[in-house]
Amino acid sequence: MAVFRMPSLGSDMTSAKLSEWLVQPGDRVTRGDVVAVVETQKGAIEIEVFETGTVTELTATPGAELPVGAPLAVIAAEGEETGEKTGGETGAEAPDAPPVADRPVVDVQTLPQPQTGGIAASPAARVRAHDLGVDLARLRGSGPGGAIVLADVEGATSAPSPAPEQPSRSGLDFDEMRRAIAGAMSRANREIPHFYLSQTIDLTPASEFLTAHNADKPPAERLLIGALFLRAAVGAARAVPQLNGWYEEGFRAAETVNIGVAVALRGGGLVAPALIGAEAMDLAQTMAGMRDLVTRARAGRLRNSEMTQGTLTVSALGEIGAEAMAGVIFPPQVALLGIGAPQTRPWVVDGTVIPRQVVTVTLAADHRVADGRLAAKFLSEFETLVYCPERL
Amino acid sequence: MTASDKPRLDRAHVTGLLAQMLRIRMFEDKCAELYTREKIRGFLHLYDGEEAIAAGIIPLLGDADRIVATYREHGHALVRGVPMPGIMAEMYGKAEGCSGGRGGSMHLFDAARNFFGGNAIVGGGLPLAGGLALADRMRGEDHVTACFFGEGAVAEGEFHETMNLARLWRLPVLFVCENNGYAMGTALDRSESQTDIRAKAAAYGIEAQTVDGMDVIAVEVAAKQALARIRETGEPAFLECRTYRFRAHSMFDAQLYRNKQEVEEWRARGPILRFRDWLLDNGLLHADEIAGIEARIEAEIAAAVAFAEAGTWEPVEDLTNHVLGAAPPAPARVEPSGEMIETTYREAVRAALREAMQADDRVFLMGEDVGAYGGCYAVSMGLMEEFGPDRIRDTPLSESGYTGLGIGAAAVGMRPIVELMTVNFSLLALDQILNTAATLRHMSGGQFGVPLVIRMATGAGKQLAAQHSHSLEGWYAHIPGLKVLAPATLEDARGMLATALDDPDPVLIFENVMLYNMSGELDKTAGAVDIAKAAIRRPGSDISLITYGGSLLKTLEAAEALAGDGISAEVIDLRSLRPLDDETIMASLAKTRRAVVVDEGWRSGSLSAEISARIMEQAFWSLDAPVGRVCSAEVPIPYPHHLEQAAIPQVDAIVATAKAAMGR
Repeated sequence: MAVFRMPSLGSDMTSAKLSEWLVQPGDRVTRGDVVAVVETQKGAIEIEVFETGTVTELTATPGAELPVGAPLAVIAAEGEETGEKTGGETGAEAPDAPPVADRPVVDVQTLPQPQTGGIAASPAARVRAHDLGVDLARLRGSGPGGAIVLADVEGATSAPSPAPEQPSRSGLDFDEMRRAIAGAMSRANREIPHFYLSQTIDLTPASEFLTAHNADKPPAERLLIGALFLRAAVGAARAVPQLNGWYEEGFRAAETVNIGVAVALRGGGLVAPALIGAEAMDLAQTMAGMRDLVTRARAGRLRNSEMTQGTLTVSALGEIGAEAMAGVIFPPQVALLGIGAPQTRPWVVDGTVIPRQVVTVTLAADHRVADGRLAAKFLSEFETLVYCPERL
Repeated sequence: MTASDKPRLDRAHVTGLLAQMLRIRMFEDKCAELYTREKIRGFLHLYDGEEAIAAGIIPLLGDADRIVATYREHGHALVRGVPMPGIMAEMYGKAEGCSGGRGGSMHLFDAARNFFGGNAIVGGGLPLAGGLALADRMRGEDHVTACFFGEGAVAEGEFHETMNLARLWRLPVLFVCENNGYAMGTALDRSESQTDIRAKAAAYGIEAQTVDGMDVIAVEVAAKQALARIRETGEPAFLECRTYRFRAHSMFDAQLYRNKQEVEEWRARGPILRFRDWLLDNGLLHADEIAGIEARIEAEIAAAVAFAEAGTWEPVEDLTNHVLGAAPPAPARVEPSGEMIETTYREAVRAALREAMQADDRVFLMGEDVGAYGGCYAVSMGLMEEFGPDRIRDTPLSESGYTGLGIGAAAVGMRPIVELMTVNFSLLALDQILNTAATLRHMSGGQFGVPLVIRMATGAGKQLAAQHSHSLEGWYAHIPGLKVLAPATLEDARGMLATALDDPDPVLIFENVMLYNMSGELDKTAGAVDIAKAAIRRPGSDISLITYGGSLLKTLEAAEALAGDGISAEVIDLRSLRPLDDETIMASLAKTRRAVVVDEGWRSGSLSAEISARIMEQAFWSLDAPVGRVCSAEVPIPYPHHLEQAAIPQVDAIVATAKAAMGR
C-alpha cells in the first residue's frame, strides 16, 4: 500500500492546488501514468504516479491547496488487499537532512588583531581622552579584546580607574589622578555654565535625632550627619529630577539616584564614587554604603560603574573647615551639592536670638538644564528633610 | 557506404544499444520520482526521448577521447561509463557523488573517463571542447573530443566563435547538436532567422549533416562516419540530431509552449519504442530478453539509490575545499649577480614570455595580434618569428572563444598564455573566465584544474577614452578560484609570469598601459618571483599608502612629497590583488595607524573598498584616522587629456588625502 503524495516539482514550489483527478478509486495505474492536474504558480501541471497498482482511495479533494508531501491518494500494489485504508500517516517523509555546522565555518574571531606596540582604543575614546587630557595608557579597556572605548575614558574623568598593572592601593598614581581631576574640572568649567544658590539650615533637629538614635547603638551602627545629608540630597533629587542625570548632547534624567560621594584620599586627591541605587536605601543602608565607599576608595578598589554612573554629587567639608563651598560639577552630571562645615551661629528662634549649630549648603547647577527656581526647590526640599530627619 | 560505415546489426550489438537507451530512460524516470520526493533538488533536466544520441555516439569513442556535455547530461555520463551509483549520489549532493557532491545534476564530471561535464552555460562548453582539441592538435595526439549541446546554443556567440576557430585551426571535435526543437520553452522558429542548423556549421566550412536523432542506428552510422573523417583529416565535423524531449524542460515546467498532441506524435516514434518494436518484429530479440534487461537495470538503479541514500554529507568544515589547488612553494630567490641591464617594462614582459616558451613546450601565447603584428603594445614583437605561428598564435577577435580554448587546453595539460588586448575587451570573455576557468575545479569536486595565465592591459592615460581605459582588475579580484596579479615594477614584470605558469589555477596578470615604456635597470639574473606577498616599496612610520600597478609610481612620488613635510609614509605595493596579503597590510597599519588606499578603479564597490573594510575588520582598534581613498572619479574615462588626468588618482590628491589622515 503506497501513499501518493503531492510531488515537489521545483525548489521554489511549496504547495499546489489539486485541480482535477484523472483517475477514480478502482482504476488500475501504471508507473508514469498521469493521474491528476495541479495548479502551480507556473500554471497547470499534470502529475504522474511512480507506483503500479490500483487506486483504492482519493484522500484529497479537488480545489484544495496542499503542501508538497501531502497525501493525495492510496495505491495498492498488485496482489495487495485493496479494501483497507491507510493509517494516520499524513506527513511527507523527512528528507535526509544535511548536517549543519555547529559553529560558523568562517570564524570571525580568528581574524588576527595587529600586535601594536601601542594601545587599542576606539576613535571616539581617543578624541575624548585628548579633550580631557586623559592618558590612555592608564586605563583598563572594557571593549573587544580589552580595547578602550568611550565609556572607559569618561569613567576616568572623575577619577582614575585602577590601572591594571597596579592592583593594590599603594599603586594609585596620584599624579595621574591629579591630571584626571584637572581634565574633568577643566572640562566642567569650560562647558558647564554654573550657577549657585545657598541656604543655611539649623541642624538642631538633626543633632537631636542623631543623639537619640545613636544612644544605645554600638559604634558600627551609629549614624553620622553625613548620612543624613546624603539621604536628604537623595530625597531632593527625587523631588527635582531635572537635576539628577547627565548632560550629553542634551539632558537625560536618571531613573535612579546614584548619589556621588566626594571622598578625600589620604595623600591628596579626590574621588567621587557613586552610591548606586541610593534612592532605595534607608538611613542605615546609606550609612553602610557610605562607609563602604570611603573604605574602598581609599583602598583603590572602586568599581567602574561607581566611577561612571553617578547622577548627582554631594561634597561635604566635614566637621571642621570652611563655612560654605561652591563646587565644580562632575561632568556629565548637572548638579553638585556643597556642604560646608557646621558652624555655631546666632540664630533667631521664635523671635529670640540663640546660639545654634547651622550648616550652609550650596547647590551648583548647570544652567543648560536648570534655573534658579528649580535649584531653590531642590534646596527647600533638602532643608525640609534635614529638619525632619525622622522622614529620612 | 564503406564496410566500416555499415550498420552493425548483430544481436549482441543491438541488444547493447537497446539496453543503454533503456538504462537512461529508467534512470531518468527514477530521478523524476526522487525529485518529487525532494531527494534531488535544484534544476533537474531529463533526457527522455533523446537517448538514441548518447547511446549511438558515445560507445564509438575511445577511452582517451573526451566528452563535453551540457546540463542535460545524465545519459551521456551513463553511456560513457561513469558509474551509476556515483551519478545518483551526485544527484543527492553526497560526498560519494561523481563530482564529490559539489555539482549536482547539472555538473557531472569524471576525470578518469575524460568526462568534462556537465556545463550549464548554454554555449559555454563549446570553447572548452575546442581547447581540449587544440591541446590534442598541438601535441599531435590522435584524440577526438565529442561536444554535445542543444540547438539553443547556436544563437550564442560562443557557438559561432568556436565553429570558426575549430575550422580555422583544424580542431578534432565532433560537434553534436541535439536539436529538440525548443530552447527551454522557445521554439526554434521563434528564435532563429535561419532554422537550418546544419547550414550554420556548414557556413564555416565544417563538414555537417543532419540525422534523425530518434533512430539510434542512423545516429550511430552518421557518427561513425564523422569520427572516421575526423581521425583521418583531423578536421572538425558537425552532426545535427533531430530529436525531442518527452518530459518538460526541467521539472517545474507547465509546458505552456507546446501542445499534447505534438508530444504524443513524437512519442509514437520514440527511439526506444521504435527500436524495440523493430527488434521484436525482426526476431532479433525476444520480449522475455527485454524484460530481463529491464530487470537488471532496475536492480542497478535500486543499488544506485541505496548507495546514494547511504552516502555521507561532506562536513561543512570542508566548505572552501576545491576552490584552489595546492600552489607550489614560492620560487627560490636567486642571488643578484650585481650585473645590471637597462630595460623597459615591455622588454621585461617579453623576456619573461621568451623564457617561458623556451623552458616549457607546453607554453604557448595566443591572442589578438600577438603574432604578425607583434602585440598591440608590442610586447610580443619578434616572438612569432622565433617560436612560429603555432605557439605565438594570432586569434580572431573572439575573446570568449579563444579564452575558452585556452581553458580547455590548460585543463588537459598545456600551459597557455592568453593575451586579451585590454581589460575592457576581457568582458567579452568574462563568461569563460568566471563560469568555466574559476569554477571548473570546484564543480568537478577537484578533479579538473585550469592552469591558465591570462594577461591583459589595464588603466588610463593614453587618451583611449571610455572603452579602452578602465581598471577593472578589482572586479576579477572578487572571484574565488582566480588569482589576480598587478606587476608594477620591472622585477615583477619579468618575474611574475613564470610563477603564474607554475600555478595550478587561473592567474590573471594586469599590466598597466602607462608602465610599458617605463625604463630602468634590472639585474641580469632576474627571474621568477613570488606572487603571494605584497611588498614594502618605501618604509615609513606615520601613514601607510597602499596601492598597486599603475599608481605605484605616483604613490612613491607622493611619499617623497610628504617626507618634505615631515610625514613618513610607508608605501605598500599589493602585487597580488587576489589573494590580498592582509598580513603585510596589517603589520604596516600596526606601525602607522593610518592608511590611504590608492586605486585606479572606480571608488564604488572597488578593491580599495575591500581593503578599507579589511583594515576596519582587523585593525580598527589601532587606527588613528579613518582610512582614506584616492580612486578614479565616477565617470567613464574621457578622451581629453586634462579630463582623463582629472579622472584618475594623481600625486597631489594622494598627498592631500594623506595629510588629511594626519590631521594636517
